[in-house]
Amino acid sequence: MRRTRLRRVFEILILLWIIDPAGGESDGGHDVPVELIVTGTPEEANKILNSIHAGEEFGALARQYSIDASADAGGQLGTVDTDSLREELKDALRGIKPGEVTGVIKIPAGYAILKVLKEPESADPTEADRDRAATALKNVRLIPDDSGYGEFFQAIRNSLPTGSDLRAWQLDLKRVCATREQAPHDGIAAMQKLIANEGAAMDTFHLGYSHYTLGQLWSSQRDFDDAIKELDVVYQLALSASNYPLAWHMEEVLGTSYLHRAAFADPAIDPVINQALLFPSHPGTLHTKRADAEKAIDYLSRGLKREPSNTELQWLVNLAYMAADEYPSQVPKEFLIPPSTFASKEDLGRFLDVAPAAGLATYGNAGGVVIDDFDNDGLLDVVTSQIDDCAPLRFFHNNGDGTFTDRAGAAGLGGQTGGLNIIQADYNNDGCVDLLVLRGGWEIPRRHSLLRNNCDGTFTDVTAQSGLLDGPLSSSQSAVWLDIDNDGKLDLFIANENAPSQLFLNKGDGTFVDISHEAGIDRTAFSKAAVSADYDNDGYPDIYVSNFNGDNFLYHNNGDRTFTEVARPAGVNWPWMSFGAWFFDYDNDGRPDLFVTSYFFSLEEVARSYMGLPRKGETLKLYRNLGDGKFEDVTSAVKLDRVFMPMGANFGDIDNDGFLDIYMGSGNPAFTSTLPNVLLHNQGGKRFVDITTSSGTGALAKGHGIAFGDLNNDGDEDLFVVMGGPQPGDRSPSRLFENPGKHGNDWITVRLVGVRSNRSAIGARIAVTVVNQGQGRRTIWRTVGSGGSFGASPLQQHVGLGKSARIEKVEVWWPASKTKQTFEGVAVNQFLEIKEFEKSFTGETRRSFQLGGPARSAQRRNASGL
Amino acid sequence: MRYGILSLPLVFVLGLFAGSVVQQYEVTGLVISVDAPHNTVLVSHEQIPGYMDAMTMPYRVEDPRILKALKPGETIEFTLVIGKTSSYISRVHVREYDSLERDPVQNRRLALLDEAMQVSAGSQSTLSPGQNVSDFSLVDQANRPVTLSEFRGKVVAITFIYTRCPLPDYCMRLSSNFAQLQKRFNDHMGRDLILLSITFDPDHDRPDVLAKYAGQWKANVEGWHFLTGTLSSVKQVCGLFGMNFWPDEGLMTHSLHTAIVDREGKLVANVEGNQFTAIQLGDLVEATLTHNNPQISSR
Repeated sequence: MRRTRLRRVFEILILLWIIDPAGGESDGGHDVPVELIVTGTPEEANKILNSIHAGEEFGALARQYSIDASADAGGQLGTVDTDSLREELKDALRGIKPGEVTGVIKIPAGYAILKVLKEPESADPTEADRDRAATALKNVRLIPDDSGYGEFFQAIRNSLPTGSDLRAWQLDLKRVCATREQAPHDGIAAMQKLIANEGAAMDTFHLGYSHYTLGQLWSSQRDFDDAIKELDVVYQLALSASNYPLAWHMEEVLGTSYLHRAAFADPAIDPVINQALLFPSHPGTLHTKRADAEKAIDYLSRGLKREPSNTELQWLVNLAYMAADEYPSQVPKEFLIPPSTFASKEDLGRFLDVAPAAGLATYGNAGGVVIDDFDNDGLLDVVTSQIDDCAPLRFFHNNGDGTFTDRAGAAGLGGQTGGLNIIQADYNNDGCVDLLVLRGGWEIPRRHSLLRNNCDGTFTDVTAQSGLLDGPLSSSQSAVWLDIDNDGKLDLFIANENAPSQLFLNKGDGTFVDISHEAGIDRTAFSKAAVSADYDNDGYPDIYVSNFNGDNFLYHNNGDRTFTEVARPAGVNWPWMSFGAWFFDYDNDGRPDLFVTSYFFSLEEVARSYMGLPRKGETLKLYRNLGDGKFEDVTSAVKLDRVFMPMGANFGDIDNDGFLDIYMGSGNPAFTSTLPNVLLHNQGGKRFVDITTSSGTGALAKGHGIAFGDLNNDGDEDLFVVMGGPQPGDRSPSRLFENPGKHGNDWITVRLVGVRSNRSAIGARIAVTVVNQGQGRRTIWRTVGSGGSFGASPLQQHVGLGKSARIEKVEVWWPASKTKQTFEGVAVNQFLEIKEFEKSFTGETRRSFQLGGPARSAQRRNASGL
Repeated sequence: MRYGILSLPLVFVLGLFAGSVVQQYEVTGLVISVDAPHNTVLVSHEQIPGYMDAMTMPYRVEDPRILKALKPGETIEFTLVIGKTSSYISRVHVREYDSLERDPVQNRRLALLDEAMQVSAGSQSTLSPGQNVSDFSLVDQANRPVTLSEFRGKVVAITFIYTRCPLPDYCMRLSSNFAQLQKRFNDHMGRDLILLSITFDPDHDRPDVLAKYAGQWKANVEGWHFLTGTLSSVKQVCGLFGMNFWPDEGLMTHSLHTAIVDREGKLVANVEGNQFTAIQLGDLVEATLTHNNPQISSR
């Protein structure tokens, strides 16, 4: 036990020692797979080298003799960028061919021997990929579960009905809610009873873990006083038993608990605190919980002093100083992550969170969001859901004066609770946008809800009559509407977790039929995203499915209601731990490119990424569509090769330059995973620049459903973010970041109305050809859809046009009719409606207004205390 | 360098260090077997810096009472005392598997919660060394039924995995251990040594998935079986060995167990965790193979 700990220290030290601390940029490096042996003495190293040359296996020798932690993995370090290595290692590797071994190299940690591996020659690339992912995981620190979500959900699982009653439970949202509320309390009572009855007879190890379990359950219920009390009992027990590794572990758990209580646990949402939780925080902003923050500093610093190169702890210590109002001035120099680390290289203006003034700062858990116009009044409304089965769906009607009113009750949505994600489309072509609530994501199956918009301000739950509840119920957090056979009726593809995907064909009479099996699209995986685009421009929409654990799927639409899975030949099967995804044309070349995030959950790796240290974790992927059915991985070329922990994510054009930007919500259920959301500006389709700090959008809590939309009709897209973790102990207020609109670029917003094609025009393509002053002619491309897989932007398409733009033409391709419209003489900076087959477009008059209404000025005053 | 089990006569152990000065070393090792009549315990231990390479050795215990508390497969910490005329071990302490990595911590907490909420594996109790392992039937990667009792007369090593496990220190480590056993006992595979890797994710790990996984480890067709079945049948087998598992955000939280069953179908050892080496596990297998079979020579 103690040795494991020491080994970890060793590992970090050695990694630092083999990696060049200067880490300068150069183009001479290349990625090579290497194995490593480190010994304490040169004699030992030479003996091993002789054994290697005598034919002994490197891996076996590493296992036996190496003092590096990679010994257990046969010395495997994974793929290393030679450029990041120390000079002496770089020198030693020069001229070493795959399969060869270096001599003995003196490094600060001892004496090293490196072997360059041959690139895997496996016939099945899955194995090599898998090994790479696993090797990467070998040397990283995964985030511990310190928020009690594991216990919270296990208590629920232990309370589920069995047999046929389970399905009845899954269909009954009231019962689901009751279980979610009651089960954790049953778990708490059971643990208290266990400790009371059997605690005296337990050894300190089991007694300690019993208190630990109880403390976690309290954390999950937002009772941090009781949680900290129990966690402290564990700490004291560990100390009394001289179990120092457990004691040190508890110091970190106590530290993150205090940090969480300091920063997030206050349900009285104060706009000042809200602003302060925008990373990196500024002095003078957060002080209400200073005592907790000081405790967090104390506990977390102890571990960091023992393990100075533990970047996870270093990150948390810096956060704790921010919470205590003492960053950066009071952070010990050796621990400081300087503010310059987070400085943005570009400034497009600071966004202001106007959610409190607008009435949108729902304090809640992880969930989904749809921004769209549900009553056709030219104003975008906001619908939000939460994973909490007791939390109602919110239907925020846009009042047109900067405020929103929750009309869920009046709209007949009162009984709709829970749902990690929601999406929208006019599936019945009646001219009003309908809703689909997806439930069970990450957890256990419960019913979805298809909510038909009655075009009179109310909705009707038509799930059962539509046929969507036929067959087994599965957990899902992602689905996509698309017209697979161009019959003008939107079909529904649902990606499930550990269950076959489902494709529901729209029969046009309000019902659907499941054709997944016949369509060849019913693979089983732990799927996290379903998105669609006609990537090969053959006239039929294709589907991409991201999977959390294994290869992703690209289902090519064969045009006959069947699909062929082609992710590997197309080159888009990665990352191995995928989450959010979408198609977008990031470089405006007319072809939909593919963006996929990696949910590689290591705060250490994220911190290292921020600090510019070499990373081992898997990055997200941007695949550029080459137009021949294949994609090229351009992640590094566009500077996206960083490790984030994105959950919700979406895209939009925040500066109206015509290029689509990215916003990602970050985190996982642990308290340790406290890290900012990220805004990435697309610079001309060439690279993405992190503007989180300058934009003020680095909200620190867990970021889930994200949508871009021009909520005040002023010609730029605002950003709505559902924040919060999955259990009561991790709630946060939603954010509405108002676009500062300082770019001075032109735009148009286009709403398409299908006639033969589906009325929502999903899948229709828009090309706007503009001439910008001094830049010549270019075309900007959009495809109608709700954007990314977690969070739904409006179906109307907002198109940034750049500086001093003159529109030469607007072209629209309609999927069902295969027709094309071309409009010339379109003025910039307006809202258009374009109907399929019509010769002319309609301009829409929409009045712009300031978000926040009367409360806005008060909020500004409070926030200006920053 | 490391050697196989040295079947040293007791007198040699006692006399080995005669004449040398008194010295003490702190040692950690895996218990291979306990020989109460001779007051010794056979331990596969790691290198003792400055004194001895990693080795499997019988040690005389200072206080024979401790032997009652020791079981094969346990990790012990002890002090090796080298006397002028004799040597022995003292301050023997059984080290519980208490890794603080993400999975073991979560596993311990969830197991306690299930116990408190009275939903743990049910009435079934975990087997102790020496008990008969009740028979079970599952199917292997070729979709053939496999029953434990068909291996009577052979030594069986059992471990638990799921193929989607991304963590190299967990399932991959256990599979890697078996791959090393397969290499070390190449001549015995299928003949008198059987390796069973049982999945606890049977919904996903169907025989075709396991066949692919077996291919990755170049598993010997005769000797190394990857088993799956219904969730309830797998749960039942897991219960015999105290093996716990829970779905966790798309992955599994689980405990780690590797068990050795002797030729008579009795449990020899149930090793928890991942903090032992494949060599130590191999020594345990070798001792079980050799037991009552003196014709089998060590490597």
